[in-house]
Amino acid sequence: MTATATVTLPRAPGLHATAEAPGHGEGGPASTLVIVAYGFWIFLISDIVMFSAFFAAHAVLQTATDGGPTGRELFDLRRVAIETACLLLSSFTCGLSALAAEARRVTWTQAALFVTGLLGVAFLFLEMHEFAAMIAAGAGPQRSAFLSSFFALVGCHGAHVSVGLLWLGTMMAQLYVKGFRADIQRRLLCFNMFWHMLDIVWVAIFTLVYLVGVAR
Amino acid sequence: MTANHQKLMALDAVPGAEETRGEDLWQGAQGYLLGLVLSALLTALAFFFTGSDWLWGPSIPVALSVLAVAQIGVHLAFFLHLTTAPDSVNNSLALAFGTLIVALVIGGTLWIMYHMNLNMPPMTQMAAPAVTAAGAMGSQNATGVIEAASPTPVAAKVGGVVRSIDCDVGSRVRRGQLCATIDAPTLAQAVAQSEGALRAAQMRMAQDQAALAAAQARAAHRPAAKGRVDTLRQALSSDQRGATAAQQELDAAKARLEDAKVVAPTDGVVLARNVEPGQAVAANSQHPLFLLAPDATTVVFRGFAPGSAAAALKAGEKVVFTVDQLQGETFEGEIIRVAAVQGAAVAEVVVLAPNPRAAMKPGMKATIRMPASN
Repeated sequence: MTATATVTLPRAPGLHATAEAPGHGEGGPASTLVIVAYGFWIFLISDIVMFSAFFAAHAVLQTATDGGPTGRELFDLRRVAIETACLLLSSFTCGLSALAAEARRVTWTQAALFVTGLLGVAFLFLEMHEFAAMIAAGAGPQRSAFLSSFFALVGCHGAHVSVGLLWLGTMMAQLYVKGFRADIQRRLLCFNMFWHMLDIVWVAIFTLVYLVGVAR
Repeated sequence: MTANHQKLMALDAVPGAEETRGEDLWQGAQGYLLGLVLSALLTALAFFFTGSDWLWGPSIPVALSVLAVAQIGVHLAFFLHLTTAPDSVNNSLALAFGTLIVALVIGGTLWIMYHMNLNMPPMTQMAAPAVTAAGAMGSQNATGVIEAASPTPVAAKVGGVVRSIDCDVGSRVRRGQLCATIDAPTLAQAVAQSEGALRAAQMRMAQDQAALAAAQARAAHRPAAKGRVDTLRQALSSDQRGATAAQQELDAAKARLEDAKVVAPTDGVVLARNVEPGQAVAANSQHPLFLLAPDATTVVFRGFAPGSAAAALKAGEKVVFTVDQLQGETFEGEIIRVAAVQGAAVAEVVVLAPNPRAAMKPGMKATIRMPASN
């Protein structure tokens, strides 16, 4: 066995650069970074499994409008397009913050995180605005099973974004106070994965809830 | 152990403390930029397909799903740096397992619900078993819900030729207003006959009364005439019974003749008229004479009664019901439909009721209490 050719490294999920632990049990346990990131990766996947239940409920109840408003009447695709753009761009800037953090550039990291947060706030504002308008128009979650499942699914994603924004603010403060310590780096990595996961869930939402809801 | 190996283990000891590689920064950013551009493209395509007729309608959801899966793949590859390389095999395996569960949850739900919807009886039959069960437990009440009134058919209660039409499309009618009169010669004849019978009975009674008075006067002088008085008394009481029966007959015949008048069951506007003067119509036909749009001040009770109790309910009769949310109040309405539900020992009951104070709201539960039957 020639070492150089066969050694493969478990890579921390979400991490851009290659990793730190030789796999296959060689060289002892994996690094804390790999363990933390892998654990968080498992959490994210289970979170997506939870989302799948909401998606399944919505798919089944999409036509159960009880004579009330349908998606075609309620959804404003221009607003959804702006929301999508906000979240996609924020995912991009979040990735940039990870690169800057890898390069230990505090200012760039903070700037990228700040822009990520701004885009997230914009997304959340648009979503709240949509919810408020729908409820004011009598299309609240009590109106029909379709709207119950809509508010449950999209609201659950919105709640994730809100929590993500809180986390983001906390990370910026921690980075400011503590600098690039190993634990801060790990948390930043986990936050990155969380934020990218939110965008992935949003891709499914804007497609299956909004676009299919309007197209059907 | 080779030097290379040693170096890797050294890396392992300091997690997250990778050497900064300045030249890699731009390379990394390029990866993210590529991901961004690809995602934006796929998103734009998805929005474009939704608003256009480039694709065959039913295939749009499929196309959108394919685009979404592609974009999720882009996110995983360019943002989460998931690769198929051996160093990422655990991450990929965990994701594959998650994908399997997601597919099972969503696919399973859709499959089960699709088949359940196929096997679901229509709503009317779905509510029926519950009422059947209630009936089996001794409850004789018809239970149902209040609904907003929908256009109500107005049918003739007796068959005959339409003599006159008093309502037309667009006319506003009050409850009880005459809309059409049906010429029912047999009914009119029955009234005339009953009247004749009553007159004859009354005449006989008057004759017997006069005879009785004369006989009584004579019996005062001649006790032998007493037998005649008793006979006349009996004849008179029999005459009275006959007159009462004739009167009842006449009342019934008049009520039947009254049914020849088609009246509006509720306040509202006539939506359609399906009949011309001179046309022959059947009683309680499937083709109603008028279609009436009830006013907003009218509601409909729609419910189910156990078969045994439903026999006591007839279309056109008044009925009193209570509403669960309006304790202590009773409401009166007119039964407009009683129909047996196929395959269940219950009947659907529809009642039209005025709701001038708008106290009854659609969705409220209501009950028609039946007189307890033995």
